[in-house]
Parts: sequence; structure tokens; C-alpha cells
Amino acid sequence: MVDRSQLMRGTLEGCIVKIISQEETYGYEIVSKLQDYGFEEVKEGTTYPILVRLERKNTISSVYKESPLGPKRKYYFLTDKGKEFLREFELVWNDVKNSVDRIMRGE
Amino acid sequence: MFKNEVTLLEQENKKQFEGLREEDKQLINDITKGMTIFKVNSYDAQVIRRDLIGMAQEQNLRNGNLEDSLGDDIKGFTNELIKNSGGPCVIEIILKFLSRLSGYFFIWFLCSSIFFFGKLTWESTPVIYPFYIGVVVITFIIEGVLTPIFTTEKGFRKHLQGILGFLIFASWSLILYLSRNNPNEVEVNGGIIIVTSGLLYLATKYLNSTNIHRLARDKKNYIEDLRY
Repeated sequence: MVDRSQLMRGTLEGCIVKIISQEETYGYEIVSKLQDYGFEEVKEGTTYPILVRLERKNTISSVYKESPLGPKRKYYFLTDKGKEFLREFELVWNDVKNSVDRIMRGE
Repeated sequence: MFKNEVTLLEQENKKQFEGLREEDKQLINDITKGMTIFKVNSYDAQVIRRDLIGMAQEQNLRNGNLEDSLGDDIKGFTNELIKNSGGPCVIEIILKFLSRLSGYFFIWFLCSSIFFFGKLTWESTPVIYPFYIGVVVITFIIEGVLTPIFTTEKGFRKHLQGILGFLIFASWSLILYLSRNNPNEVEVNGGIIIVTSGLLYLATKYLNSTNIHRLARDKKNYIEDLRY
């Protein structure tokens, strides 16, 4: 059997950064969006350590803001370093995707 | 003088923690106990604790609990967090140890001089010094090394930290009990020890606060954000 979670692991970081680049967002919303895109098994237990790592590497930063539902929420946003990371990720991902596609098509 | 980003975050976290469900409180405590100063510096640990509280609050709004967010593998989650955090700070570990050592010595010798001897100097076996230092080292190791290993375990394994801690403490006490028959009692100058350990305690507390300011300096300080 193909280990989907193993396959997903390397790409999740780039996907999270892409979601954050679209608008300031919080942990629960990031997970909901990933699930909407088909990463149904993803939970905050998977994304939160990645967010901690991205924040430590200064790829993203965060701020607490009022929430309409109750307590303040931590909103993540992209830093300049994060924008650079995203550009690089898109290039590398396209390279990898093209290579795998060519192998799968037997070209 | 001793207020710093960690103490402020602790206050805020305590306030937010009160409103959580019992099972979420337990889970957060288990995870944060695993992140001792040997693994994660205390500023990062408090920021992570605040985030976990936030996750639990978010789930409570949707009638869920924190475990729904984190999944079943709490040990794996805690290890991932430790791996991805800023790591420990050696200066903090040293200062915390010296603070614990001086604090214990201050209280032990103060209590001894007031309640047991009623004076500032007394005769005693020299074994008391290695015994007191050993007790501090053992409690420090139990909290810093054994607790993180077993805190996120389930069932019997969760209680192994207490059992191992007790065995280490009992062995240490036994070794010193067997070597107590030293005929040469020494004069213990409690006054000097009380003053020295008290001053050392204050100095390490101050230096720890300065170190926390340094750890939090280049990171987002959430205190103002979090104030309502």
C-alpha cells in the first residue's frame, strides 16, 4: 500500500505557506482549507508543529486578533522570507511533479 | 525586577486555562510537562502552551475537544513540537539549577536554625551537604529527564516516572544513611549559608529574567496582543 501520509509530509509545508499567502489566517481555518482541498486526514496535530517550525525559520509570523466567536485567535501571515520560500517551493514542486508525471506516463 | 515575558505569559495562560474542559486541561498539562527546559526554552514553551489553549478554545466553540484537533498520537505530536521548536537554552538550565539549589539551601538552613536548633551555628555530620545537593540534583533530573519520557504515556507506563523517581531518591538516601557514621562532626555555620544562598537565589532570579528578555527579544511578544 502507498503511504499517503509519508507522500504528503514533504508537500504540506508548501501548501500551508500558500494558504497563508492568500490571506491572514488561523490554525483551525488552515486545517479546514487543507481538508477542503482533499487532505482529509490532516488535523491541527499535523499542521501545528509545521507552523511552529515555519515561525522559527521566520517564514511566517503571527499576531493575536479579536475573534467574532470568542477568545482571541492567533493569525498567521507571510513574511518577506516566506514569499521567497513560496516562489522556490513552486519552482521545485513543478520540477518534481513534471518528473513524476513523465515517469508515470512512461515517456 | 523579576517580571519577564514568561511570567506574564504564565499569568495570561493561567487565566485562559481556567475556562477549559477538564480533559483538555489534562492533555495540555501532559504535553507541556513533556517540554521541560532540557528540551524547549521556557519562553517558547509558554507560547506553545498558549497556542494549545487557543486550539482547545476553538474546539470548545464547536463542541469538540482538544484530542479531536491533535489526534491520538499525543507522544508523537509532543516530539514533533519539541523537534520544531527553538530548543533548550543552556544558560537557562544552569540558572534554573542554581536558583533551585540556592532556594532549597536557604529554606532548609533557615528552618533548621529557627525550628530545630534555635541558633545560627550547630554541629552536624558533613553528610548533610552531599545529601542536600543530591536531593536537588535528583528532583531536577526527575522533572527534566524522567517526566518528559513518561508524561504522555497511558496506563501503567505513565506512573513509571514516580516509581523510578522514588527508587532513585530512596537509593540516594540509603547510600548516605549507610555512610553517616562519620565521627568527625563539623560546625555548620547556618547564618553564612542562609545569607549566601539567599543572595545567590536573588541573583539567579534576576539573571534568569534578563535571559528571558533576551530569548523573547527577537520573537513576537504576545503579551500586548493577548490583553483584553
